[in-house]
Amino acid sequence: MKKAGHRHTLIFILWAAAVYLFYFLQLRTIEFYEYSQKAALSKHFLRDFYFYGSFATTVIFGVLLLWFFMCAERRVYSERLKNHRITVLEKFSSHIAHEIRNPLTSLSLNAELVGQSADQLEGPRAEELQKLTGDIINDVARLTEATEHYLDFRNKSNRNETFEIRPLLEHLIEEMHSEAEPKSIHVLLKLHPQTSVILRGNSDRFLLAMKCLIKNAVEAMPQGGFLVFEGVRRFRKFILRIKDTGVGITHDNMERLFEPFFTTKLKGVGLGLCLVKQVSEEFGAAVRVKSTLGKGTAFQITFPLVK
Amino acid sequence: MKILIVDDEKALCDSLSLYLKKRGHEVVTAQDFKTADEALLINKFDLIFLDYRLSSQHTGRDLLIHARKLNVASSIAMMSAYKTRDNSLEMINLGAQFYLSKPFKLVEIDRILEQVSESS
Repeated sequence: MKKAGHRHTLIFILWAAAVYLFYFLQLRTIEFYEYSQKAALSKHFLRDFYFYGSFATTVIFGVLLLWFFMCAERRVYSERLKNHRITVLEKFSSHIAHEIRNPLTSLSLNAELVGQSADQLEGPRAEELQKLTGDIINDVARLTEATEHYLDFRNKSNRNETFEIRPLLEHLIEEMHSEAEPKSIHVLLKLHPQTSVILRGNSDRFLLAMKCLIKNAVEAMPQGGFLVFEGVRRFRKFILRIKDTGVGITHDNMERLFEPFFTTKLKGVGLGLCLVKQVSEEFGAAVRVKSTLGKGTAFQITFPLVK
Repeated sequence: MKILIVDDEKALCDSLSLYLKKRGHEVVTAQDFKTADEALLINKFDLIFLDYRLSSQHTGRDLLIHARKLNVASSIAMMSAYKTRDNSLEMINLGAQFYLSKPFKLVEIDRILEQVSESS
């Protein structure tokens, strides 16, 4: 920020110098010619006009320039800070996931081995042991799922393939039906049959992002509702909207939606939407969200198309 | 079968070794590249369980490449804390036959043992 301050001062000085140079050149030009009485009066008027006018111009433009560069610097600084936080988070996620998953493996195996030994016993003691080992195995599964979120966030991929989006979305929706139907959630795909959409990126990461959005949408519709995948081509872009008729998001939460670890749920790590944003950036896409309380939420991701 | 388990986590080696011995297999464990390399030179294993990460100096991937260079004919099952399609394909291309995502269940071990004994 100190370097930025010096740079701004320098730019301001250069700008001021340029304006005053212009002023002096103009003055010399006027003095060069022979004037009549009228011109002599004009000369003073012109000189004053140039002097005060350029002074005011310098101040106004200098202030505007300074403000513009300070805003730009603030944006750059904030972006750098955010990227630094994300790098630290990625390293933290990787470290914690590995340091947890390895001991979880032996914990899980040992619980299963104890359960197998318990099978050979009889009576209430055996039942008690089986229940306890069952609880351990369930908790291992919960912890594994939690670490999955951290690792999904960390694991950016450089894989750069082209893939057709329609079969992926159709397969995803088909997978969803068994889970959605009991919850009275109707899932629809609105994509023109003639529309061919080919994207460049990692298809697994794309699916991961979609699953995060679906999970949030399902959780937002405890009484059931509609979940719609709507896609439209516009020039060289493909706009994908994932809309639900759920409870919606409050205005305060909207601003923090893509922050790592931000969650309004009792259970959850708070990396889902952060991951969606990360995956969108991997595709060179922009993600936006609109929501109305009580009516629903729509996520819009604009992808660049591959021809 | 004669089985080698290579993982820097001793607890995991012990748990897996206990289970495999109960199933009647002969088991050798190693917690680093050097010990595993010595075991490979002395013994002929039917199956190797190999941790993908192992250590910062020599990873499981390094050991896999090394084992294939030594023409070790064993079936190899890589174990990893985070399995992805990218590293699964890479390991298979380097010569691993199986890929386990940690934490794994005993039923997955049974499946591998069954496939290895069928192929031998």
